[in-house]
Amino acid sequence: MLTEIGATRPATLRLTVPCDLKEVRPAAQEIAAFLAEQNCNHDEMTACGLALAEACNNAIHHAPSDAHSFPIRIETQVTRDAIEIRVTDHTHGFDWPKDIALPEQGSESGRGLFIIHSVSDRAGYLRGQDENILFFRHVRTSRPKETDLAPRDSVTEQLIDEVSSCYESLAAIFRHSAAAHAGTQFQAFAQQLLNDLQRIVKADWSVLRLLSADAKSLEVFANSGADPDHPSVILDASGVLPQEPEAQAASSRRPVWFNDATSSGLAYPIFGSEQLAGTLTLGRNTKGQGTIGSTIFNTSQTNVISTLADFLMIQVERARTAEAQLTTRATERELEIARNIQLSLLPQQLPSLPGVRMAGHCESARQVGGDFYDALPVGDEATLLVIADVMGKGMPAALFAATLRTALRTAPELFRKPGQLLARANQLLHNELSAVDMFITAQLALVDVKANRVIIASAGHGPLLLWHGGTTHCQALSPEGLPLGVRPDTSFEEMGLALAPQFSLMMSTDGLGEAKNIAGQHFGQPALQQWFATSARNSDTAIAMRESLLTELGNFRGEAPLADDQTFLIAARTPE
Amino acid sequence: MKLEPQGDTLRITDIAELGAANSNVVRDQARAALAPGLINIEVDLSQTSFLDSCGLGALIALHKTACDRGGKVSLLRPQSAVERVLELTRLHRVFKIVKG
Repeated sequence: MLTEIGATRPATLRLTVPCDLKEVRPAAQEIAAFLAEQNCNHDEMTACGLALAEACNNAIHHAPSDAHSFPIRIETQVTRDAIEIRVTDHTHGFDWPKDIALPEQGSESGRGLFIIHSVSDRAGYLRGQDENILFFRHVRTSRPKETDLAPRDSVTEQLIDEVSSCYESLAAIFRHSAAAHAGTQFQAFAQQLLNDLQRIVKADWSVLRLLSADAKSLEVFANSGADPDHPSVILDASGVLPQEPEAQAASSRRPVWFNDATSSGLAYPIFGSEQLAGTLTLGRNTKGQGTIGSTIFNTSQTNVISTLADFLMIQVERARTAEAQLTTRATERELEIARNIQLSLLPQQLPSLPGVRMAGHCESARQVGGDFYDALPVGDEATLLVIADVMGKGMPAALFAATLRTALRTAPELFRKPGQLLARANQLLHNELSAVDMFITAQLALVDVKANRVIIASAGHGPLLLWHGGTTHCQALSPEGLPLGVRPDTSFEEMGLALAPQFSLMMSTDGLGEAKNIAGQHFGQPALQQWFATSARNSDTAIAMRESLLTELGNFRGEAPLADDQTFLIAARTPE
Repeated sequence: MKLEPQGDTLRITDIAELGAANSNVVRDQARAALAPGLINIEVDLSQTSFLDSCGLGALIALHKTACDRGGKVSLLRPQSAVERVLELTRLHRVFKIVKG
């Protein structure tokens, strides 16, 4: 064995190895010992050992059965500048590929040449008559006369690299965790996290996409790096293999590596409680530098990305939960306020009118609407009855109800002219109502016991029911008039009728006739009229009629929830 | 090489080298030890000083087996030379690599 290294005469080791896989590693160890004697460093020995193993495996795997008796020859030459190893096989040989690529990730073989090519500075295959030579050359970075400290240096370097990336990762998590608790806006927080992550893993750009509300696309939430124009990604449910790495990561639930014309990187899916929350993508601009053998992110960097992605997932969940709670709280608060407004619109007590008793009822569905009723005294012997239904729900409906109530109450000079009063209210409210595509139906009835007359006007409201003593049926009265808010200038018919000594009158909103039972059937206007006529004929007082109607509606509805506000106002003159 | 079940995981330890000479044995023994209920495979690479393309083939074969069962293969504490091979062949993207 020659161990002297001269500038012109290389140190050479020649081995013959039986054509048996089990003999390869012992031979490799012998060569490693030889390289150590030549002061080759740890990395050089590792690289050559790996390439050698692959070359020998190749020679043995592809040897025809009659060639297994021929040994493999290995020649190792070391100079000051390079290590060159030649492996002679007795296979039928192969053509050294022009481009050496990795096989598919799932392939269990086909990486040998790629490994030899990657760890060597030069490699090739010489085909001969009965034998072939696979050679590879490794340019030395170590100095031949240096003491053998190199291996320890490289280990220390790796350790420092490892520890520092862990430290950065942990420090980033602590910093972001503190920021999250300090109530930083989530988007700003995510932005900062991306900046840090990008720095730690030495990426050129990063994008956080979150799943849209309809779960059909991944929308850009935060991004960092040179190119600010990242598109959202459509998630295709058609079963076609998606093109974008993010869509692939979302559907496969696994990280997806990509390498396109301009950049390469990793798309990492973010899952929270089994549901896709979004994707985190980091990339480097390669522009043709993505050569074989280089890695985009190494193991440490990949681990940092997955750690921070997991952390981000927890924060996304937390932010979304908080947002949902806030929305729910806000909605509930709004409903409560709207309900309070609606309640405050109802008269504390109904005015007294000689011989006439009145009773009102207003019950809100969960989604508060804009129903209300009112009764305004007009002198001692008349009362203006009001019922209204603002189309819409929640706060806007409640506010319009309050506005209408005020508009009516502040025009006492028109109490005896209900049609004109509605026209005035329409003029006042039209612009505001039409601006938000809302309208109000309302009905006014002036009950004058001195003149024994009732004057009715309606703004698109359902019929007023009137029963005269001594008759079997009731009248359903609907004077002409459009709802408030439909046209700026509109007039309202005033319908005047004589009141019998005994009468019952009911105004109601459409929630009554449209009340639904569990089977989805409506209570209906005919049933309402039938009940009204029957109850009135029984000479029930207004209060008794109210209780009777509520029982009737309750029986009909059964377990079904209240679908709409139910509001009605009854006035009745019964024999003493 | 040692094989021991831990919960739903098959743990493989004490592999000195994972190369052409033993990769088929490691693969076949691990598959044989995968009793029903074992879905994940953990390969402790802390004692493994050498890994070549045949060893990678065995790990990929086990990865497929684990995936078929809805599990995964984790590689524990690979030495730097072994980790370098995984990175070189981009397979650190396929396996979960647990360091430290």
